Amino acid sequence: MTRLLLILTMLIATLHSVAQVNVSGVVVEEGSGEPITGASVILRNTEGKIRKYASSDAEGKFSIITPEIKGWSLDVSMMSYAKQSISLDSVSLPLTIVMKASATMLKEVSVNADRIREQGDTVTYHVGSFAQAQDRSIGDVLRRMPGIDVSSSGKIKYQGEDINKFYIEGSDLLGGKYGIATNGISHDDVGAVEVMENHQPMQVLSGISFSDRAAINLKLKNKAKATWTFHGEAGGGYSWQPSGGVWDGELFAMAVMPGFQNITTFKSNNLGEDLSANTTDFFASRRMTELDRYISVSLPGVPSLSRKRTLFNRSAMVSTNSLWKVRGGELKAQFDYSFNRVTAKAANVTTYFLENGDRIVTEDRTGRDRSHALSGKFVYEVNKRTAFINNTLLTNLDWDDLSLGVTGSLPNTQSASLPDYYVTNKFKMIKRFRGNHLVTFISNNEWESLPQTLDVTFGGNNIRQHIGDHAFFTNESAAYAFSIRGVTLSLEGGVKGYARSLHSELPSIPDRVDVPVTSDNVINDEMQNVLNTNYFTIYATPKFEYWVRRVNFTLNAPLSFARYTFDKALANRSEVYFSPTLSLNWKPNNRFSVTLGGATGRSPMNLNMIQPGYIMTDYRSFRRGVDNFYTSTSQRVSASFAYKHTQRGVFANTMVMQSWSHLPYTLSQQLYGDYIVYSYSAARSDAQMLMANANIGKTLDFMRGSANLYGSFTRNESHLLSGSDAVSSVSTGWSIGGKISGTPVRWMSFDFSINFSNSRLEMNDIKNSWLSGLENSLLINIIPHRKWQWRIMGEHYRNELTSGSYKNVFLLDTKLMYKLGKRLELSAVIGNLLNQRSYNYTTYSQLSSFESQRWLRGRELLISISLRK
Amino acid sequence: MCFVAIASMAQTADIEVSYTAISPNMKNGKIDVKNQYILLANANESKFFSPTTEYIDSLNSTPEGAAKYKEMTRSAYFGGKMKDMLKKDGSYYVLKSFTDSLVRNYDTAGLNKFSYDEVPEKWDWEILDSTRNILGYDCTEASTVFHGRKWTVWFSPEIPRSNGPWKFDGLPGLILLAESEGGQYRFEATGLQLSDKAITPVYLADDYERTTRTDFLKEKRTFLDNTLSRLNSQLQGISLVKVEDENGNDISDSIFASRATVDFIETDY
Repeated sequence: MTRLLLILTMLIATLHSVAQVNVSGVVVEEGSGEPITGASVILRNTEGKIRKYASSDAEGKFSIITPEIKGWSLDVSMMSYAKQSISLDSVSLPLTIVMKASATMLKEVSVNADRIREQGDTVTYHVGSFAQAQDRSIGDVLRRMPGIDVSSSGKIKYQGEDINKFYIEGSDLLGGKYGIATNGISHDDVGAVEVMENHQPMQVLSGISFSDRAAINLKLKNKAKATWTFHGEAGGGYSWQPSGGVWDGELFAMAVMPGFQNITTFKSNNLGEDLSANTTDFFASRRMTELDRYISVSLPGVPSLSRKRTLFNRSAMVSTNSLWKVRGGELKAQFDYSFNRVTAKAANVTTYFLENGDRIVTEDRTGRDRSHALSGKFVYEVNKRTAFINNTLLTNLDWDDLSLGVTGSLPNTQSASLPDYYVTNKFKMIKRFRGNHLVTFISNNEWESLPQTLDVTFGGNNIRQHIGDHAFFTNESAAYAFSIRGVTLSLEGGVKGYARSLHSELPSIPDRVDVPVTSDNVINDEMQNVLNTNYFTIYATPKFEYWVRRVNFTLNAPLSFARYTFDKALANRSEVYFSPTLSLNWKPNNRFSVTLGGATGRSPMNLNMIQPGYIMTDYRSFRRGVDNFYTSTSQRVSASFAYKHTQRGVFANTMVMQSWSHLPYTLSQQLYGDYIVYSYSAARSDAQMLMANANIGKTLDFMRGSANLYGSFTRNESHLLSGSDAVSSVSTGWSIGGKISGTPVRWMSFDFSINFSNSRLEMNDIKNSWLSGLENSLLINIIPHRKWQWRIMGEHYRNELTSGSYKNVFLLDTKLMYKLGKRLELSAVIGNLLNQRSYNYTTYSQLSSFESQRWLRGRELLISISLRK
Repeated sequence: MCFVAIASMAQTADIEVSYTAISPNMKNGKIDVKNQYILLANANESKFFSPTTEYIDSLNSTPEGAAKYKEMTRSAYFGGKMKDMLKKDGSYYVLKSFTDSLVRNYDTAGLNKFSYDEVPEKWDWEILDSTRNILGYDCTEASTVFHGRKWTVWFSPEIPRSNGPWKFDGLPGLILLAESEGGQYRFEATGLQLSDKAITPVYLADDYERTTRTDFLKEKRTFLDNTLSRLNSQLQGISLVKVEDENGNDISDSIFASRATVDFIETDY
């Protein structure tokens, strides 16, 4: 009986459970009627809560068993279709759900692309995040990236140190002339800037030699690769000072293909734009021919204003750089030509500091400098892990003609012709053997000629002086390096040879200059130089590099034996030099880096100083060289510290350096009326210098900007002879500054910078007062509409000419730009809106002070059109 | 066969979701390991992977890329900054193919790479009543027991894609948050956008040894329990003898915590 009851109960229960609904149907596409697979089918109860779900199968069919459907609803959804919501109260099953195609609307939450991404030794900056509306070239954007500093000359530093390579898509097309790229490549063509820290450009040295410098690599956007990109600009207008027409034109073409790269640039203007950054080689090493011009005439320059305000020029330059990837290596060819015609005007008051009353000379100078430069460079390079070979043939030909006229206390005219001809071939080969052993061969040859001519008309006298100076230098060396377990030992040994000949002739010296020369027309030994200064050196430079944990320790101990021969001028002699340097670099983690360094050594004087006969260096200065061969000794210690936290966008660095130098001679000056004669005399002269600077930068992500704070301090102490008195002087200076830029609202961006500096000269314990200078500048860019941009820029300078009296100058520029189309842009610029025409300042040197007045470029209007491919 | 089929199907995704995966540190059980993952999915297949790891794998898959990666590593090593080398992030890839009904996993156990296939899970989700807003989407709660752990997930029917982080799917909406009981393992969506990126196959797929799920997990456990002996036998020429913690104590026998303290995301092996 109970069993029957049980069966009955179960039957009733089953019957009850059979009273369920099978919500089934098919999902099809509107129009075609095709079944949709994978549509999401959701059953919601009376409160809208999800109770059951399924998805449509390969035939678009679904089937959901549910106890009841009264008040329930069905949602059917699928990406790319509009959602269907059906109430199940009065429908007939099975259902046919027709889905209508529609664009999928998703509330997108984009994955936050960090503006700076760090991966091991490479920090990547996303260009779009840093570019402001007023930026044109990639150089404008690089300036804003924290940690990267671009000086006004175009030289790039990362964390306070010069970069050692500039790559475009991994190839080194431009070498040290990367100014062409930073000024020419549009930031719109660059996707990201990679900074490769501790960059070792020679693959054969990777893992063996530590480098504390960084390299920059521009990663181009796809649209700029494997195709030629062009842009060009042309403009014309009128200027109020110097009054006349002005023009500005530029053409830039770039091709970055897998096996070939080329950048060709042409620029010309008479608007005050200094084009030299485009042809300056920032990696150029010091010339070993060590020739220096004796003649020192130059146009008056203005140190504290941006050069654009005071450069009265007509300039043009053309440069073409090509790179071909050949089997195993690269071939590069560069040609540059530039022409510059610069005029300048200035008024000066020079005060010579003398113990028994200062001497004042006033000058009003006008000048014109016409220069041409031609250079060609051919490089063949193979850069592999087993071998590095590089042969560079370079020639620089410069012609420079200056003519200056001076009125005032000492009226005169001068004209100088100062060409410079230089050719060099540098060969370097590094081979790696059996893993860690390296052998390097170097052969460098240089030849330079510096003929100089100076024509002076002064005080009724006409003097024409010609100097011929040329030198040849060769260095052949071999080096062997190997490393075991973090220690690298290298020994470089070689020979250097140097042959130089100097020939100069000074026809006469004014009577007032009371120096022991004969006054008739016979040229004697004091009026001419005919000599050779040669040397032959054998040297060895052992180097020791060690890593332990995170510390890198380097010791350099160069030792050389030199034999000098001075034809007729001085006695021949032999010298031994030893100048070790030590440096320590500690990187406890990716954020900090500390470097300590020290050096001590003995070095010979510059052979230019051997010059027994008088040379006229400008219209009222004469110079005579040393009477003996001198060597000087120096010591230096320095410490620097760098910190970075890329996630927070903070970069900071600081450096302190103290150096001492001991010279067995001093520079002395003797005044004869208005003439000065510089010479050297044996005396113990000690100098020391302390220099410190600090810099901190931070990205300001909330307004896509960055801020920087920097400061520096220098103190220079030296002892000199002025007249027949000993003078000890201390010059101290410090400066602080900051800059901030950003885009606080979508339609406006700004750039503000401020710099305050203060300096003082102290002579024989008599302290002059502190003189200060303040400059600040603000740039605001407004985009009222997609096609229009208006920019306004202001600069303010405040100089303390003498204690307590200040000179303020305020300069204002404005620019209006209109985008005609995707590739065309029109702009109108008014420079120096307030038409400020002159500017004054004061500077100190060791023996004198200058107060001067300079002429500025007046108001200028320029209308230009620019095109991009 | 299936292997080849998946490899040749380079389809494009239509949705891309970024997730932060939080898991415990195997040394002491502290929940402090964070990895970035991305889910690229379309209606037929999906890939769940860690972008930094994939970047390194893609470098190592060509000779030029491998040379570049070696250079970067060498310079970091010789500069004494081993900790700051470009290193891999999350270790696994989960490739799902709905058309082939296959879930393929790629992962590492110790120093070796393994790959194993699974049939898609027959999910037993319990849908709960709570709702929550994640990334602007209304999400419903659901829970299940999966490979030894109880999981609570939040999915959004507004995104009609039956997929989610790691191996999770089977709900009528994209899973934006998944957390194991006790909070040891957690996946959180941080970004979501429409996409047209290609779903590329795993780089260097041939380097992964084929195995089964349980064998793989057992191998992982063996490595954690016998680290030194495993390393010594595998790396010929080097003999690691002792490991010390930051206080100088010898922890050679217990570099990693035991299974009782902290276990893998799947505990049934």
